[in-house]
Amino acid sequence: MPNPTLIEEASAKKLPQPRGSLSSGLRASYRSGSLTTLLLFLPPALVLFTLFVILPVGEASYFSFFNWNGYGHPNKWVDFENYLRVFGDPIFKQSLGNNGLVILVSACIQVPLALWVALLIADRSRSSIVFRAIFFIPYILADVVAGLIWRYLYDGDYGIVGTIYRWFGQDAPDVLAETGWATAALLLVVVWKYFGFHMALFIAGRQNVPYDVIESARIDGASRWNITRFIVLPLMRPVVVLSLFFSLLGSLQLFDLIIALTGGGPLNSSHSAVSYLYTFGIRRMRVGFGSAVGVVLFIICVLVMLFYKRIFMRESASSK
Amino acid sequence: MKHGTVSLLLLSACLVSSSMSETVIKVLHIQKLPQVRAIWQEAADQYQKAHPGVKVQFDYLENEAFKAKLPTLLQSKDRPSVFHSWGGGVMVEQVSSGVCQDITKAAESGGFKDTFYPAGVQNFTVDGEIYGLPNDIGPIVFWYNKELCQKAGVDPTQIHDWDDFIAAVKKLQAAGITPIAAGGKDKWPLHFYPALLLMRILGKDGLDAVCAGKNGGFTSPDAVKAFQLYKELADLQPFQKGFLAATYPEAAGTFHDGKTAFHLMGNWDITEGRSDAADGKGLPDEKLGLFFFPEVKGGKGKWSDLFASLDGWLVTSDAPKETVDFMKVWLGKETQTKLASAGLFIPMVKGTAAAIQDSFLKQIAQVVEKSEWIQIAMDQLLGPDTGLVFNDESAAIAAGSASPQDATKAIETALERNKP
Repeated sequence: MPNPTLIEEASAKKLPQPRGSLSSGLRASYRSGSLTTLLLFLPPALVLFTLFVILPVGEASYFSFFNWNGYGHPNKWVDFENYLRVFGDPIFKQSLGNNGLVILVSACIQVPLALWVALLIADRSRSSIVFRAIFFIPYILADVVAGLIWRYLYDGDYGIVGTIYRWFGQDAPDVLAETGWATAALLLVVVWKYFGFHMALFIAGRQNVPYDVIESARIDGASRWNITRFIVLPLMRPVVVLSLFFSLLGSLQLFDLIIALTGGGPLNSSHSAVSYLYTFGIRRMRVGFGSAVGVVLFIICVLVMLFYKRIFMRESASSK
Repeated sequence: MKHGTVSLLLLSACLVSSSMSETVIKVLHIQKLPQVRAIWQEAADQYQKAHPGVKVQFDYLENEAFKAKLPTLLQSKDRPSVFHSWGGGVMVEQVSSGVCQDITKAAESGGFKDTFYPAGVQNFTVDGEIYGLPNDIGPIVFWYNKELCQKAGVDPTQIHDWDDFIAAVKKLQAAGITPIAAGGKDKWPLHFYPALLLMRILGKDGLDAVCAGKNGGFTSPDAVKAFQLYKELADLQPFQKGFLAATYPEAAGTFHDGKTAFHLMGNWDITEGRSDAADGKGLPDEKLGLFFFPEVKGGKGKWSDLFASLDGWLVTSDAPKETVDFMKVWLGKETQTKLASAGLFIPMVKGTAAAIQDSFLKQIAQVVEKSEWIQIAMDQLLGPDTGLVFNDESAAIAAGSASPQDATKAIETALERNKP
């Protein structure tokens, strides 16, 4: 525990930070107490991070150069063969494409819709609170539960889709049994499930827009549309950026819902990158290949996050 | 003071007693049926009574969880003494990684291994050494709905070759009846078709050569022909609507609800499968029939060559020496006869077929007794990777998105890359 009086003294004296040798730098930071803080607080985080993030990533990249089924020790070195297989596999490309589709649908349909609804029900009236709860419920459901519920809804024989079709004397299509349709069905469930989450973000964002700004605009005679267009939306930009960031993240992590809803089928047409990794790496006991998929996925994640932060997050921070 | 001595005595008594009963035989199984577990427990109790100091412990894992956890579990300190196995390529991998125990001597002592059908022991033998013992067999047969077949004028007992079968499918369709139920989402129910066609066309030697990759392996003309015949069936669109999204339990439900005429499935279709029907009972005995997968004209395989799920037990490397001794009771004729007469499955122990009461199981068991060739499921035989590619391609052909040539090429490629 650094002595608080010492810290106060040090900051009161406003010690100049010497840019000289390492030892003098260390001494200075020791005197200011930051070294003690560093030594106290860094190790737990560093150890955990190394143990559960760095080591597994390192291990996976090592395994990815072997043809290994998980028994014994990896000993069949295959160079980049696993990576070539990953990139040569049309199913992997389609899985990545599905990830892209989820992001696209999220950005073009889910987020605007959530924003629109949020602006409608951001006030504190009773009906708004009820609607908020209704829209938020799907998000509370576990992914697996949501997947199973929708599996029954989509069922052509017993499900609600089948029942509706029969009212009109028609035979229902089995959406989950047809390539293309199954992916569309999946996208619908994704929108339904995560819509409430984005809406909640936007409601919080809308409530943070200071009322006095809106009031002064109103006094100046601005219409409701103009207030939304020129005051509310610009002030909510950081929330929109954050919301899109979560869609990106969610798409890259999409797994449970797919396994429960379609199992990646029919004919492996509705996999995401992660469910692809599980199906073709883990279930098939191809640890080497699975590790290669994992490494590729890891690199994609890091790149996406870096660029997103660079391009959007910084801009929104500076525009504040 | 007095209390102190007493508790000290109690403590030391506890320590002594716990160090005495140290031998634990841990059995890792995937058996869902409580009736089976009860009979197993009886055998365990019987053994424990005769051998104080040995404890038998049954641990259950659900099928999929079992498959996923097993590799890690087997290489950890918590490894079971005995675990469920389907034999085949997966077993070979486990044996070659050194987690299994060679029990040849123990199994041969007292002629124990000869109490099983030879095909069963063979399934758990690697390079002439026995690593496990068989439990039961689930041959795949065609189940049929008598009412629906009668309605369409189809007599399934007269289906002898593939052409008869195709004719029956067409006849059913003409009568407006969906011919076949299949769980296409799970894929393995579909893989039975090309696998059985391979057996009927190639015969045992031919199929062994194909799986060993000889003469082009799966891309050899006869192997492609099997997939060609399967595609001809698929082109008739004989399966229930939405079969590609149906799991095995859903397909079994469809068949046992009386909605399709045929269901190609193992004998568990009359226990597990029936429970998946809407009423939980399924087709009653008098409405149900079975026939064996038809032969192919000019093919080398016979109708009595069985394609089956052959389950058994592998013994791990550090299992206690009492393990095989316990198996003599557990997998012995007495316990297995109880299981057979309860109609729970077809045991691999000789002489138990007579005890089977269920007429369907009896009919199958009698063929098992005489069968010259019992082939295990492809996803086990070929190992997890190639096996699942086989299943994938079977589903792709059924969906009409792959040609027999594409499918066989994909399987052969997977086989090559998994060569040891």
